[in-house]
Amino acid sequence: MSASNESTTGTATAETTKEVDALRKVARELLESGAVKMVIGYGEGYTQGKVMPIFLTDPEEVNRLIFDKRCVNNLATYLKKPEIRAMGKVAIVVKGCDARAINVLLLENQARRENLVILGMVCEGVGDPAEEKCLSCLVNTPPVYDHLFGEKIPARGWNEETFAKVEELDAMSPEERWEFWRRHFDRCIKCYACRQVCPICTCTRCITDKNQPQWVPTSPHPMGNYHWNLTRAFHLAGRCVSCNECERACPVDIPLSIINLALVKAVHDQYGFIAGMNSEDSPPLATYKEGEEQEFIK
Amino acid sequence: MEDTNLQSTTAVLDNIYRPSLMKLDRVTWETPDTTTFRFLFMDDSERRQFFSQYKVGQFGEYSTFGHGESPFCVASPPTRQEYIECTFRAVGRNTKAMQGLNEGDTVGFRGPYGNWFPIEDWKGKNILFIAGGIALPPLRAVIWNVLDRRSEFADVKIIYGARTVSDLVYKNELYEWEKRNDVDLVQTVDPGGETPDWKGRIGFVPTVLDQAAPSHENTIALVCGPPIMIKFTFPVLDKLGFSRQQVYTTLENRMKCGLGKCGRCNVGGTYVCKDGPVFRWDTLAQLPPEY
Amino acid sequence: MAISIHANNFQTLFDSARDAGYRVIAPVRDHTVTLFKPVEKADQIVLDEILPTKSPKEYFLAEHEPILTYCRDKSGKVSIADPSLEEVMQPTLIFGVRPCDAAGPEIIRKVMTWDCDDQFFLRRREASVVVAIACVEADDACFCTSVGQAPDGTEGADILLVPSSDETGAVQEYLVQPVTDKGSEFIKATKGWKEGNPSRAAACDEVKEKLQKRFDPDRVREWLDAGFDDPYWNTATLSCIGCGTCTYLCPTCHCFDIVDEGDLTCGSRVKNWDSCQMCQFTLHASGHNPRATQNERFRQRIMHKFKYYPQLFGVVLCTGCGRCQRSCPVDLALAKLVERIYQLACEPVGT
Repeated sequence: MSASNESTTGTATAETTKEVDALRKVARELLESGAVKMVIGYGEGYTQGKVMPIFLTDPEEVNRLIFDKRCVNNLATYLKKPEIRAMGKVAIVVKGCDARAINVLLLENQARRENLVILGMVCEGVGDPAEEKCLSCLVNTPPVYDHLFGEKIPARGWNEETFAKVEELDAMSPEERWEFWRRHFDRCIKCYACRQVCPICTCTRCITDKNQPQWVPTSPHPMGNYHWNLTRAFHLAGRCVSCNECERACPVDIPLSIINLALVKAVHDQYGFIAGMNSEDSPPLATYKEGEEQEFIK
Repeated sequence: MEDTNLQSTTAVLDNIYRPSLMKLDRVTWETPDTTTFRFLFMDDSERRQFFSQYKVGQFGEYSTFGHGESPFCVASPPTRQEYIECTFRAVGRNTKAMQGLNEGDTVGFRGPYGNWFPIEDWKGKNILFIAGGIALPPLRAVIWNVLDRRSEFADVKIIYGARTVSDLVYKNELYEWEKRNDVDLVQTVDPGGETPDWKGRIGFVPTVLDQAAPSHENTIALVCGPPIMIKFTFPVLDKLGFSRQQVYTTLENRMKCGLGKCGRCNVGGTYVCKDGPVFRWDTLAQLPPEY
Repeated sequence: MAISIHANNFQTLFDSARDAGYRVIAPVRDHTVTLFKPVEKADQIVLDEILPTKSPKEYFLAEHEPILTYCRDKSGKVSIADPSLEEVMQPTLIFGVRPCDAAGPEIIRKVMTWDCDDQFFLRRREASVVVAIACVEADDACFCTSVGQAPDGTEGADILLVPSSDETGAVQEYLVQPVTDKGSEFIKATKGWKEGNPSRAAACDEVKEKLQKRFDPDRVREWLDAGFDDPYWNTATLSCIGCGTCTYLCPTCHCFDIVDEGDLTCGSRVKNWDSCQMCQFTLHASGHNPRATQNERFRQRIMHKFKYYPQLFGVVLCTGCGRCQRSCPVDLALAKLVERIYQLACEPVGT
């Protein structure tokens, strides 16, 4: 029996694209040669019609790898897992947004470049209908990769609609805005799916798990919910790549992508910075430069 | 006795999570980070209720209001019914808050929970206590229980060690036990932990146990210590001829409700708060390594 | 004497329930999810989905339950009080509950009454009338029949409504089956019910056909008895990200945390939902964690549900609702894992 998570109903798509064929070939070579211990990619899910993350260690299983519009997951989150880190060198299938997350991990020393073989997939967008984030994609061609599958294409880029929801909220009165978020945060059950699925939430001990003092209440009451969601948002400012996995993972559909966008816009407008486009540029909220503007310190 | 408990004005809730209010009567600093607290029940009927059930080895949930609850064993025996004691090191929020309290302050206490050492089955037997460091408190309740009923038991031997002299807890009581001629006390510190005037042994507890070589005949052994000490002590007991039915230990695990409901403390299918914390070695050996 | 109710009379039922002092809880849309919430108008309720996103568990085992309040005056004197019973004992009609969700509290009751009673849970259950509605459809995630439940099961329900569909397939009328005395009393005390059978037969047969048993929990338990160290656990759940979604949405998961909130002068001690999937669930103050990896934590979930709980209480800690699969962000289906274990259990020894 292979040491990967179990194969499902075996309804592999009869046709594959040439990109997927190429991906499978490279994955096989990497595993056979021992260059990597594991390939993290997408496979058919347990639920008919869905995909799920798969972890291959046996070259004979590479035909389980797929890539299509259903592949919404950001697999970079698995680079946080101690069991995966302990494997040493792994290969990982990424879209552009996922690769941006890897750039942030590399920048923050949460992953080592030499331990990764990045299998970049050119992506025109996932979801059917297309995910909203894909309509404003900055990285249809992944910004970092070791192997690229698909012909490079230019990025769609931001447009007038990209920050429409943020602008809508900005136009509201504070009371209206408060009410908007109150309605949504009321549903929060503190499951922390948002945190767990996020590749950038890497703290080994999250602030809400600390109790001396209890900075963020663990209770799912209004104070606890606001406090949690807003604290997480602040901790992601300048680091979030708006892959929007948090919104997808949320079981009660809190529109976290709007917060992500608001922060992206603020950081871009104030500092001209966009997270994850490379792994060299320092994030403005985590970097000190001499001679920086200090007008706000009174 | 002042009634400090407010009752709800409508129906009374039979609230299993409600603690008794306890007055902190005495604080003893055992080591720079370990204290022994003596508590008095503020409500005497609650005190009587507690002692009608309490058997040695059981634990309770101790809380400071505002910081939360922590489970500790009751470190005093059922033979002393005016007070209860616990000994703990400050490692978390509640324990640090507790060490900030003064005599006269109020804490909460829920208990007794869990199972107990079957001391009634040990009458006439030799009792061997083996403990390390901060793990003496759970056994200290049994030691006092046995010593308070001394004539019912045969030989009593205590082997107790810590990393250094200053890490030894219950220093006053060790002194008392040393003086008694009906208790054989062997104290030890780890090599390098001795002070110039240290008169006890030097060596790890399992080594000292091996050297002391107590007989297993008609003897019950109680072992409590950090995992590493247990790991090396059990083989020595085995070598000395102890069967697994003759050896008892007490486990600690993260516990919250203490009542088997919150789902947190199970080791395999065994809830430490219900089927423990006292375990006989043969039962412990059946449990999966999840503690 | 047969009783039935037409969907057009749900409003009458709700209004009469409110007149009789009940608050009415039913599945309603909230943004893009369906939740059990207080409802005024019967036309707001959503009954045409497989299941609401959350189970009604929160009305029995509160997400956030204050269990006592404390006060410390200037002299340092502390007083404590039980919380007010008003909310815990509030008469509540919980309407539109699927049989898998209705069975949940009855299964949880066993641990809540183990040696001592959690009054918060019991009184909430006592104060509730559960009106269940049998299922006419199921999806691939449903597996109630594998764990001893049924799409028209009555466990945990005070009243069961069995749907009958009209010629368009829409369900309008229900045969009313009082299950408990409380249910019968409730029918007497409220309106909207009518004598006689619904004009059409019940529509549950098709769904029962569809819900074949996928595994035998007894065989699964046999494997689990010996399988604690099986290498299966090392790889089967690598995709689990350790959120609490499955445990929080599950009708039978009941693990909780107890924390104090407030400051030194006043506050409360509360019981909050907690999850064995969270990394610090079993973390000791010393820093030692008996379940330090996600694989071990996931194993605990399956063991607890399919071995430990049945060992203690004779019943599987699962009603087959399938939420753990539908809502899992990484499509890790507990039922599929248990099916795989069942396959392993059935394999002849030596393969």
